[in-house]
Amino acid sequence: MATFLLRRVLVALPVILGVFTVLFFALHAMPGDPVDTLIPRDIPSENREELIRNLGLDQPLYVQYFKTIEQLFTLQLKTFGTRRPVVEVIAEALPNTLILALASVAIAYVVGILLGIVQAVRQYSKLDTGITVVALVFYSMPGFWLALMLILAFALWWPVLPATGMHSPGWEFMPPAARRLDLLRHLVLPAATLSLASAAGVARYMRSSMLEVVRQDYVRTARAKGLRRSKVVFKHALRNALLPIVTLLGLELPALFSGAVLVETVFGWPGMGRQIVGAIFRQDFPVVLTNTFVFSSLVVLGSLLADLLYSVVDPRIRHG
Amino acid sequence: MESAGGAPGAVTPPQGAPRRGPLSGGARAAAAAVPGLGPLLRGEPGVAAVALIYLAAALSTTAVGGGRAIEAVADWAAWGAARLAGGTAIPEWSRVRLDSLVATLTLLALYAGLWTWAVRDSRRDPTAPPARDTEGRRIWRQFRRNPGAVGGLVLIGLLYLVTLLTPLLAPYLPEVQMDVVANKLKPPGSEGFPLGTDEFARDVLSRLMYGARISLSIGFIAASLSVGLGTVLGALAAWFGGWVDMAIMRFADMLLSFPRLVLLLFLLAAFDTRSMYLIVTILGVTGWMSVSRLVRAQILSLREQDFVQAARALGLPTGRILFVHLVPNSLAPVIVAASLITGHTLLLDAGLSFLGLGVSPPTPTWGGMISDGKDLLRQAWWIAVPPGLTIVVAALSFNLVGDGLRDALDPRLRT
Amino acid sequence: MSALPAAAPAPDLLEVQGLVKHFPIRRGLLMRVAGHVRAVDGVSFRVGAGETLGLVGESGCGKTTVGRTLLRLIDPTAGAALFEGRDLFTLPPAQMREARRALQIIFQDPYSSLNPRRTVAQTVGEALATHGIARGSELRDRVEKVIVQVGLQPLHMDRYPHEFSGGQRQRIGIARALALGPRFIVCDEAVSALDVSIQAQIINLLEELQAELGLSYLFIAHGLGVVRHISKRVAVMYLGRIVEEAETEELFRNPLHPYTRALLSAIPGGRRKGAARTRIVLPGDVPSPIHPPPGCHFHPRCAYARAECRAGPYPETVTLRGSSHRAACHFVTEDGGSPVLGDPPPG
Repeated sequence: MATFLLRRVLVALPVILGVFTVLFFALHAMPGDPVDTLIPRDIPSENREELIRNLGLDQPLYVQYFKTIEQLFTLQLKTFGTRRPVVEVIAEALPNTLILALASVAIAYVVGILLGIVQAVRQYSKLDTGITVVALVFYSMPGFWLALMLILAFALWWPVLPATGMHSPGWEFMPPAARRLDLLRHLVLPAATLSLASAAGVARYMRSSMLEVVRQDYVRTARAKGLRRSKVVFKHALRNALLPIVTLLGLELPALFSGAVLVETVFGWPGMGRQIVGAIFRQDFPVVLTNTFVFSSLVVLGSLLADLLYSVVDPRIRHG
Repeated sequence: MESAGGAPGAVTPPQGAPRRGPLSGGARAAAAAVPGLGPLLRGEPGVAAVALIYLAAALSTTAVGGGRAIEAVADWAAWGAARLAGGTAIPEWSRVRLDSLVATLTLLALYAGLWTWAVRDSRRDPTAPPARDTEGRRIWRQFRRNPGAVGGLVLIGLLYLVTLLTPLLAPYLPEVQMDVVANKLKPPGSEGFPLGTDEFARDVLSRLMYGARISLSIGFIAASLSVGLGTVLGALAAWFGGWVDMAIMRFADMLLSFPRLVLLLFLLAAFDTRSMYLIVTILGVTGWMSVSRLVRAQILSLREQDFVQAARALGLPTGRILFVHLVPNSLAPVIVAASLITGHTLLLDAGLSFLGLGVSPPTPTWGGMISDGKDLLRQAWWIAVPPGLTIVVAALSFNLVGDGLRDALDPRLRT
Repeated sequence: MSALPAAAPAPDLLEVQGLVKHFPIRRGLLMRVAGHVRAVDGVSFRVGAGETLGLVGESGCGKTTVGRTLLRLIDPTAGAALFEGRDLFTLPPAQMREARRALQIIFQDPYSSLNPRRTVAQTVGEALATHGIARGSELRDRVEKVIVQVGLQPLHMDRYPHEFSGGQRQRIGIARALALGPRFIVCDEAVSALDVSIQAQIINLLEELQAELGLSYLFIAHGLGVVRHISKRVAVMYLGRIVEEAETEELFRNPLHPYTRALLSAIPGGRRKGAARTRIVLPGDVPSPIHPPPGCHFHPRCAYARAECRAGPYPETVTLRGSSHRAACHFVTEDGGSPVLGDPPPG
C-alpha cells in the first residue's frame, strides 16, 4: 500500500511540474505584454523599462523559469500588479473557495445519496422516473445560467437573499453570530448552484451503484432470511453501494473547480476561481501560475485520497 | 416518442398481442399521402407523433419562409441564366445568400424524405417476420424502447433542422439593429418581436436561431474532434505500450489535473478575436482525454482476444489490425461518451462565451446572449432566459440519447 | 544465421531447438525485474512434412506459449525454429510476412477467435486481400472454395459469427487459417472448448484436410485422449519442458515418465479389455513456474522421487536405443528399462 501511494506521488510530481512548465512557457508565448495592462502606453519609455526590469521580464526566459520555480517554493513570488506576495493574495482567496466548495460538496453528496437511495428502493416507480428526469435537467444546465436564474428568482423578483458578494456592507461591525448568519445567507445561492448539478450526478451514480449491489447474492440472501427491507438497504447494501461514490468524490474535484470559476464570477465570490479569471485577463503571470499549481496539487491530492479511501472502505483492495 | 410501457415497436410486437396486418386499398393510399397517418392507422402513436412533428416543422417553415425560398431560388436561377448567357454581372450577393439556398434545399429534402418514408411505410407489413438480425438492429430495438432517448433524438433532429432552416425562419438577420431609441429592450410579445429585443434593439428570436447554428455546430464538431483524437491516441497508447503509452497517458493526466475551463481561458485569452474555428479546435484538442482512456482500456482487453492474435498471425498490417479489428469493437462506450461529451461541450462553450472568451461578438451565440443579458436581468430578463433554456434542451437531448445508447449497448440488459 | 549444422537435407518441415520464453515480472517502486516466469524452458522437437505432433500438458505448462512463439505472436527469449531451413525467430519483417502464409494457427475459443463485426467472407478473405493474393471475384471464389472445404455452405459467407454454433465457428476459424494455403498449422487446443461429439467432427475434418492438402500440425491439447487419434508423435510437457516424446503407439504402450503415466491413467474409459488400471492421482498442484522446484521439476508430485531427484541437476533426456523414444527422468535407461518404475503397463 505504502509503495503504491509512493509510486502514485512519484508519478504525480512530474505531472504537476509538467503542467507548471507548459503553462509558464505558454503564458510567455502569448501575444500582448503584461506591462501594457499595468501602465498607460504613453508613459516615458525609461519608466517602462524600469518596470520591466523590476518584474524580471528582461531576463532570458529560462532564467525567469527557474527563478519563478525557486520563488514559488520559497513563497517569494510577488504579483505583477500590486507587488504583494502571491501567497498572501491566494491565502485570502483559498479559504473562501474552500468554504464554497465544501458547502456544495456536502450538500451535493447528502442530497444526491439520499435521492439515489430513494430511486433504487423504488426502482421504476413514478418517483424514480421523476427524479431521474429532474436530475438530468440539472445535469444539463449551465451552472452560470442557473446562477442567474436563482438571482433573478431569489434576489430580484422575491428579494430574500443577497445576490452577490460574501458579506453585507458593514459586516465588520456585526456581532459574531450575526456575521455568521450573514455569511450563510450569502453562501446559499452560490452553494446551491454549484451543488445542484453535482447532486444530480451523485444521485445517478448512487442509484445504479445501489441497484448493482441489491442484485448481489448476499443481499438476496439477507432478504430471504426475512430481514426487513429497510434494514437490508441500510445495513447491507448501503455500505457497499457507497464505495464507487467515494472515488467519485476525488475525481469530481476538477469539475468542481471549473464550476467554481463561473459561479464565483457570477456571484462576485472572492475566491480563487474569480481570482484566476482576473489574473488571466490582466496577464498577471505569478498569480496564474501559483493558482494553477495549487489547483492541480489539490486535484492530484483528491485522486490520491480517493484511492486511499477506497482501500480503507473496501478491505478487498490491496495495492501491491 | 413511444408511449410508455407497452412500446408498440414495429419490429418486435409484444408477445401475444394481436397485431393488425398490412394496410389495404384506400388506407394505404391515404397513409402514403400523409406522413404519419400510416402508423396512426396501425396503432403506433409514437411513430406517428414523430412523423407528424417533422411534417409540422416542414409545413410551418414553408408558411413562414416560403416566399424567401422562392426568392432565393429565383435569384440563383437568374444568376445561373446570366452566367450561361455569357453575362459577367455579379448579382446582389447580400440577397442571394448561399445560406438561403441551402435552407431551401434542406426544406425540399425534408419533404422528399418524409414522403419517401411515408410511401415505403404504407406498404410495410408489420406482421412480416423481421429481416435477418444484425447488431445494429438489436441496438436500435433496445434504444427505441426508451421514450426519453427517442425524444432526445427527435429533439436533436429538430434543433439541427432549425440551424439549417434558420435563413427561412428567422424574422431578421442576427446583427440587424433597429432604431435603438424606439425598439430597445422591448418585452416578449411586442409587435414584430415575439421574444423581445435586447439593448441594441436586436431581435432576440432571430439571434437565438442564428446562435443555434454557432453553438450547436461548435458542440458537435468539437466533440467529434475530441472523440476522434481520443480514439486514435487511446488506440496508439494501448497497441504500442511502452514509452508511447507513457507519453500519451501522462499528457492526458496533465490535462486532466487542472480544471479544463481554466486551461481554456488561458489558451483563448491569448487571442484578440476568436473565430468559431478557433473555439472548435481548442475545445476539441482539450477534450480527448476521457475518450482515450476508455479506448485504451478497451483495446488493452481486446488485444489479447484470439481474433486479434489471429489477425497478427495472418500478417495483417498494424494499422489494419488497429482500425479494422480493434477500434470498431471498442466503439460502443465511445459512442455513448461522444453523445455525453457533445452535451458537455455545449455547456463549456456557453461558459466560455459567458466569460467573454467565446466566439467574438457580434456573432450570436447562446452563451454570449446570456452574458449580454446578465447585467440587465432586472430590466429585461428575456434576454438571458431563452438561450439558457435552449442550451438546457440541447444538452439534455444529448444526455438522454447518451443514456439510451448506454442502455441499448449494455449486453447485460439484453434479452 | 542458423545454428544448425548446414549438412543433412532437412526432411523435417519444422525443427525447434532450445526454445526458451521467460516473462519478466516487474515489482516495487521502480518496477524492477524481480523474477521471471519460466513459461518455456528449453524445448526442442521436430515436425515432419504431412505429420502431426501432439503436444500435451496441464494448463500453465507452456504448451500454448510454444505454439504462439512459433507464429511470433510472442517473441521468444532464446532458441531457434527452423521452418524449411530458415529460422523463424530471426527472419526480417518482410520475410516473416511471407512465412506467415505457410504457417497458421487455430485457436481454442471459437467465440473470442472471430471478430464479431466481420462476416465470414471478410474474416476468411481478409488476409488474401491484404497480402494482395486475390481480389474481386477471384477473392470471392477462393473464399467460397475454402468455406466449402471446411464443410460450410456458400450461403454462410455473408453471415456474422453470432449466427453460428460453436462447431461451425471453429470451422470458420479453420477456413481463415487455410485461406493462405499454409503447410503448417498450430492447433492450439482447437477442440478443447467443444462438445465431445463436435470434437470428433472437427478432428475428422482436420485429418481429412491433412490428407487432402498434405498439412503438418502441431496439435496442442491438455489430455492425451484427444491427441492419440490424430498424432503420429506425441510430446508431453511439464513446467516448460518436454518430459517425454515418442511415436504415439509407443508412448501409449510404453510410457516411461511417471508424469506421462499419470496423464495416461486420466483418460476416461477407452482402455483395453480387462486392464483395469488404477487411476494415478497426482498430489498437489503444478508448482509455480517462477520458482520451479530444484532438481527434477516433477519431484514434489512424484511417488518415486528419491534424493537425486530432489537435488542435483535436472535429469538428462535419455533416448532409447534404436528408437526415437526419449524421456527426461533419472530412472530411465537407454535399454528401455526403468527399474524403479517397474514394468510398463500391459499394452
